[in-house]
Amino acid sequence: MSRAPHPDRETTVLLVEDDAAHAEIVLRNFTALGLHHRVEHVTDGETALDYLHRTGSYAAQAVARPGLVLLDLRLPRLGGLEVLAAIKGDDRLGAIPVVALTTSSAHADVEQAYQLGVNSYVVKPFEPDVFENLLTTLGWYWLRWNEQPRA
Amino acid sequence: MPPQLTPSLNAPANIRFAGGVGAGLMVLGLLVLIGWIFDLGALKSVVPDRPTMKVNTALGVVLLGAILLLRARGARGAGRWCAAALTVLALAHLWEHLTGVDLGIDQLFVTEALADGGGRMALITSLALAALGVGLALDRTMFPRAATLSDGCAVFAALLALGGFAGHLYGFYPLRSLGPGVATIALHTSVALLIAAAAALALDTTSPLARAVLADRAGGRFARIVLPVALLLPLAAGGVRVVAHELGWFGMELGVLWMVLASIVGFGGATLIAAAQLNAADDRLLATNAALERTVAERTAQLQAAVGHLETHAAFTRGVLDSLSAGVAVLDAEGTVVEVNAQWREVARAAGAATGAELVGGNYLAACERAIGGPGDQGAAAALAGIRAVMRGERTLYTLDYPCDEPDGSRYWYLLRVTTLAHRPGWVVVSHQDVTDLHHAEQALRDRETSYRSMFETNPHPMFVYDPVALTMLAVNAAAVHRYGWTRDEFLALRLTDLHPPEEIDRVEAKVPSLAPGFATGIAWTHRTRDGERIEVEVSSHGVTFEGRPGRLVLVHEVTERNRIERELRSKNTELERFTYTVSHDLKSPLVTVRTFAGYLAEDLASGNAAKVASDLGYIAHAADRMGQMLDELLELSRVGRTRNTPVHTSFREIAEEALRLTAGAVSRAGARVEVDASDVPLYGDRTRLTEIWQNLVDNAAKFMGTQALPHIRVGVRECGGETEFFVRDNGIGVDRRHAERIFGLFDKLDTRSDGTGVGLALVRRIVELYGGRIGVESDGPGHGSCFVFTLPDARRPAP
Repeated sequence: MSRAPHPDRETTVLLVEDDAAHAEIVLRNFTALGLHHRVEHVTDGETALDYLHRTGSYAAQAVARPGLVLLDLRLPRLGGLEVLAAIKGDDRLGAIPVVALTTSSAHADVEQAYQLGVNSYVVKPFEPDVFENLLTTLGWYWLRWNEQPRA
Repeated sequence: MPPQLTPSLNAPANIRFAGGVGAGLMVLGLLVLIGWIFDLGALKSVVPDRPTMKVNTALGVVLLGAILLLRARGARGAGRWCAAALTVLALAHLWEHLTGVDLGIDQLFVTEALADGGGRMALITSLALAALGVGLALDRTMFPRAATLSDGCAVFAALLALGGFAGHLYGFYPLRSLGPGVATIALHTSVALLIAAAAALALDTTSPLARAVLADRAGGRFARIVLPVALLLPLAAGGVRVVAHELGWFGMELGVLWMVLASIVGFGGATLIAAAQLNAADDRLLATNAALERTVAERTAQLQAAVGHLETHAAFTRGVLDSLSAGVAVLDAEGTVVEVNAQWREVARAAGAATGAELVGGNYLAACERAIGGPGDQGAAAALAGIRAVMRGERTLYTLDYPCDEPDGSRYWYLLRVTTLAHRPGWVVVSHQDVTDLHHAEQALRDRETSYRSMFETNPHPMFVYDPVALTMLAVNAAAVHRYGWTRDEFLALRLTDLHPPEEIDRVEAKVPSLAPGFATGIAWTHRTRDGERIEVEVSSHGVTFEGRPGRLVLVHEVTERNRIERELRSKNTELERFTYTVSHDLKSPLVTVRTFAGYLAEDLASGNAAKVASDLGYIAHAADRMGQMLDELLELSRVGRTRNTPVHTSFREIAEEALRLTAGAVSRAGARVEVDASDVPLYGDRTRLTEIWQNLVDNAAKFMGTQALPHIRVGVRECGGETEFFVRDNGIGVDRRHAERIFGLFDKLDTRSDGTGVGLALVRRIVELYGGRIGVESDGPGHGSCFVFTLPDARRPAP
């Protein structure tokens, strides 16, 4: 045993996904893993930034700073890459791990994402088993084992 | 005028001799006169009791001396006057002797009676003095034989004086007086007269006698040796005989013998001496002659060699002249043909006199004059004027190119050249050279140049030639004049840099010097036309020699259209790539959903969770529907470019109203009021596609009304900047300026909650672009409504 799993079980995950079916898949997997985290789901890039900046419809709410952002790239209103740039370009938000979770395997997207500072880039697989394994691994890795600085 | 003396004569000596004798005679005469005045016998007769020199004789001697002195000094006039006076004096005494008349002149100065014939001058003396006076008064310029006569007088006087002297010498008195009872000549008178006669002879060295003696010839030399002997020997020998006879030394026989022997010895010796000298002189003469002959022979040989050389050279020159392919003739200043070469003769023979090709002796100018206006006149007048100009020295060379038509119809060309002839003013050399071949070659060259020039001039591509150093234009073709808009003269006044926009000039000036003389192809530039239009070109060039100067030939290949198409193609390619990527990505999404929920469905069925089964099936159905819809719209989008309906004449209002009918359901669901502008413009195009533009835009407007209480859509048309702009305006949720471009992308939706796949606006943009137009959205931001504005230039064009 290297070390005990992450003690904080209240870490919030920000899921930015316009496809309702895909969002359901992520939620189901995280629930099945027993990771009792709060998953905040938004469907477009602008809303995602509103949440992070506590502006717009989130201005009046008490929202938690996410410990992980799962980001789709093709989003209405504001694209995923633009959201990524906004996060990594912000001193206060830059340390939050961002995992791109998208159907796009285009080389240009991968490259641009890493240039903007994405922490990981994952392509949504077709096979349900593989998708499940992927989400399990992502959850365990980023939420349990990965250390990050305190906000 | 002093006597003319030839260099071979002993000039000054004879004059000095005559002068000395003159002075001596004057002294003698004066002494005798003094003797008479003071009665000194020695002066009067030299030897006592001998005849005296009379007073008048003494005067005559003084006169005679003066004459000689004056003549020796060159005073001929005064001398002549004295000679005349002497002659008169002598003739007066002669007259007294011949007639016996006493003129009273005998005792002019002395009054005492004279025993010796009175005071009268002796007859012989007066004769001698008269002869001398006449001789000295004569001048050889007076009449032809004057010199001979003068010599004769002197010799006559000398003989008389010699006779007197000999009479004294040998005591024979008649010889002294020339007749009995007449006064005799004094001894010193006879000597004085003898010497005076010699001096008179010596005065004029050009007289025949003087020349005979003084000449530096064999005769003169002989005379100078023998004559003294002939004069002195008999006198001396005779004297010796007389003295010896008087002394009784030998008798008459011995005296004769003496004379004979003396004569033989004297003359013989003189003759031998003279002979020896003459022989020696003759030997020298022969030697000189021989030397002269040798010299002459040598000179002759040299001359012959020179002549031979000259002849060889002349033959060589002749050969060269005859070998010339040109006909050559030499004309003198009058135009007469002096010399011709073989070719000239050939032509003259072949052509006859009609062509004016005269042979030696004929007059070429006259021949030319005859030819003027005649059938063979091919520039004869010009040739004549040219030849005369060269003859007058107005020009050193005249050339004329002239044709010559042969009877068989063929045409020959000749080159006439006229040049001046060295060292012969007015003479000229005329040559005719057959230059037909040269003419044909020149013609061929001209033809070739014309055809090459036309390749440049009529080339459909713009072409020009510029100077690579000065960058000035040297030539330009019609296509360039046409394309660039400048006139030919304006274009030729341009510099290369004037064709380029200002930002390219530095690059041009740097590039041109670096070009190799060979080909430089496909260099991309921007050119400007006269109107300022910028055209994209590819320039190919090559170094050429243009009119003797280095130039660069440029061919312009205009690529404006090609570049535009290339850019469009690139843009389309990018769009296609993007499209392919988008399609694959967006079609994959529902597939992932279907596969994953199919798995959940199986689990949920196994666990018997009915609610979850229904939810799973809902996700799957939705994903499948969405996929079907996307595929339908993609198909529709692809049809826009591929299938075309026949274009028809329609109008904006017609199309807009058709679109409103098709969208009536959506509009009424949104509760919106739609307004179409009353103004109308004609349109020409595919009715279905044009309708789709407004249909999608109105549908889109109705869809994004948001929470607007009074939804309103306005469809209109306006003129803006010379273009017809169409617009569809709503007062719905509006568009953030950041998304103004994105909304036209395929499958891009601003609102994830809205139904539709995001193909509509992409489709609209595609149709607008098909009609050469553009589309954009204007909005003051979310909540302020939006206005889609587009143009359709190709649908606004009149029907073809």
